[in-house]
Amino acid sequence: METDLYPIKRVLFKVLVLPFYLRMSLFYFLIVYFGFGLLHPEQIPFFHTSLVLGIFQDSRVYSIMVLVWILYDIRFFFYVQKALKKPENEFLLCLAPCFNKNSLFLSFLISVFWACLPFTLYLFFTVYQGFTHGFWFASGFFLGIHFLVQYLMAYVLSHNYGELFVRNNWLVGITLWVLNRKKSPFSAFLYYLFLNRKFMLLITKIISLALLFFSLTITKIWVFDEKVPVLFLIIAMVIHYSLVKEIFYFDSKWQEYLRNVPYSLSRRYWEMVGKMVILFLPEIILFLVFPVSKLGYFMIPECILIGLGTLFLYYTFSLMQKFFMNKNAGPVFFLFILEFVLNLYSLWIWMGILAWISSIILYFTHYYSFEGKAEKSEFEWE
Amino acid sequence: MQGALLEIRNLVKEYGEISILDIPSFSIAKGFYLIQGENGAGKTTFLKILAGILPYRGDIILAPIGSEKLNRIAYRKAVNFAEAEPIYPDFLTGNDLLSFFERAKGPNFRSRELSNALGVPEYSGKTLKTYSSGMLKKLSLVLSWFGNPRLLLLDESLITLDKESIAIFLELLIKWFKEDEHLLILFSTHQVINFDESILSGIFKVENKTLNRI
Repeated sequence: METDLYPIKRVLFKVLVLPFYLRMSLFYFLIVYFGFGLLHPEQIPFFHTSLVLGIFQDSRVYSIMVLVWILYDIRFFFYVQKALKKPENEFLLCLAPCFNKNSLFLSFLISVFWACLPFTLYLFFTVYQGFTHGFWFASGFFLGIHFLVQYLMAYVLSHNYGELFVRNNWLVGITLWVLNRKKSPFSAFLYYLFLNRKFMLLITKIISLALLFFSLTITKIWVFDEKVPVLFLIIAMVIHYSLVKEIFYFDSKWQEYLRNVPYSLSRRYWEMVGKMVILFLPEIILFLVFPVSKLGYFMIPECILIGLGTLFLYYTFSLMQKFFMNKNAGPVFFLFILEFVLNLYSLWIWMGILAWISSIILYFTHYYSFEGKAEKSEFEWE
Repeated sequence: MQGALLEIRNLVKEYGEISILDIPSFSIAKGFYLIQGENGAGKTTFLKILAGILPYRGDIILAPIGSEKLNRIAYRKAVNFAEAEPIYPDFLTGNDLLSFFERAKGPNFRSRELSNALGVPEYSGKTLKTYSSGMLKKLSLVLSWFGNPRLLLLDESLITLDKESIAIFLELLIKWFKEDEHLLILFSTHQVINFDESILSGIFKVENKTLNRI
């Protein structure tokens, strides 16, 4: 039997929750793959129990994990804001005020609950482990803050339908002011990268940093194996896959424009290098602060060489997609191969130098190939 | 104007720095009005503002509800809008939208009658991504009759409809307009329709960012 709530609930689910899951499907896949797929089934319970206990035992990691959970919750809020501005959802914004406030609140609360369900389920496991091991306050706080954020989101959405932020809002005002300011060619990409998709990439960055911090602080494997910090850097690059792809996309457009600007070839290359360094600066600092400095400063140039060299190599391979590097499988395949070679032969510094040199050669090759095509095109027109 | 049902005061609509509409004052009584104007003149923007979809500066007053900004809930319940090119989320079915609008605005026998006359029940169980533009248009027209509208905004309501559906819709529209003593219809169209003079209360043209009576 249909209740008053049913039509609103159903429409909100189909309009907001379902597309949200589709949008986040790759993210879920990666989380499930790394969290469950790489482990032997017998190891999974032990691994996750240790992981959870590690969270509770270190206040810094605990704070970061709480932040990650909140960010995920808020991600849905931002998604709803964006969704409500879409032309096909105008009817929702227009009709929402016609509903009873309580029904609307309850419907939004249910939608928020559905959208946050995967994280909520893992949180239940975390809290259960926390309670059974005596972390009463930390577990309760974690659970409480998660549901409080969900409650507040549902409240704001049901009372303002996102209009609080969509219309006449200082946050939107500031964002527009920032976006409308004149940008230097170099900073334009940072705006594009972090603000273009409703802060999604920025949030991805924060989550990846949090995971990296967590890995380095809790596991401390690097104390036993010096290769681990470099492997973590490679994992960070895999996590940053979408960011690097965005830079690639941005650059492929940017280069078409730059052809008309009197920039030297080396300046273009170093601009690209600069972008990558800025993008991975937090990770680099993290490595310098944590394992590398503790293992010995001799590791620093090796880490930077290998990490950035790999990144540039991947980037230039992306530019040349006609190579064996294809759109999606390529980068992961490449990084795993590199990881394998590194582990097998311990060719640290040589691999780094090789990757760096290869990236320069490939970049220049791509550039000349691009110019060649352009000239050919002009010739045909004549 | 005496007995004005809709009154507009200092309405200004801008997109960035571009001014689209600037209507110092405007008022009309109950009736059936055509809204005309060239492409890009601002007809749809004007109707969307009246529907409460687009933000604006100024005030819109609908009798007896009052200001749109002060009585948003009552205003939106009293104003129905059928878009020129309706788009809705693909995942929904026609029935989802029908029950959603019915709960939001309240039931109305006219919606059911129009729905049956246009053959909407035959496909309303399917998801909207399978609809043609004509089917979507029919659904949008049905949705615009839910509740108890005092202001009905019809934006290019006849485009994409077949001849038979146009005849059915116009017949019911005129019949219901005659029956309803408090209904104001603003009908935007480019098509030449010979409405009976007893029905048509006036024609407005959107030009030079304002509304002029022809």
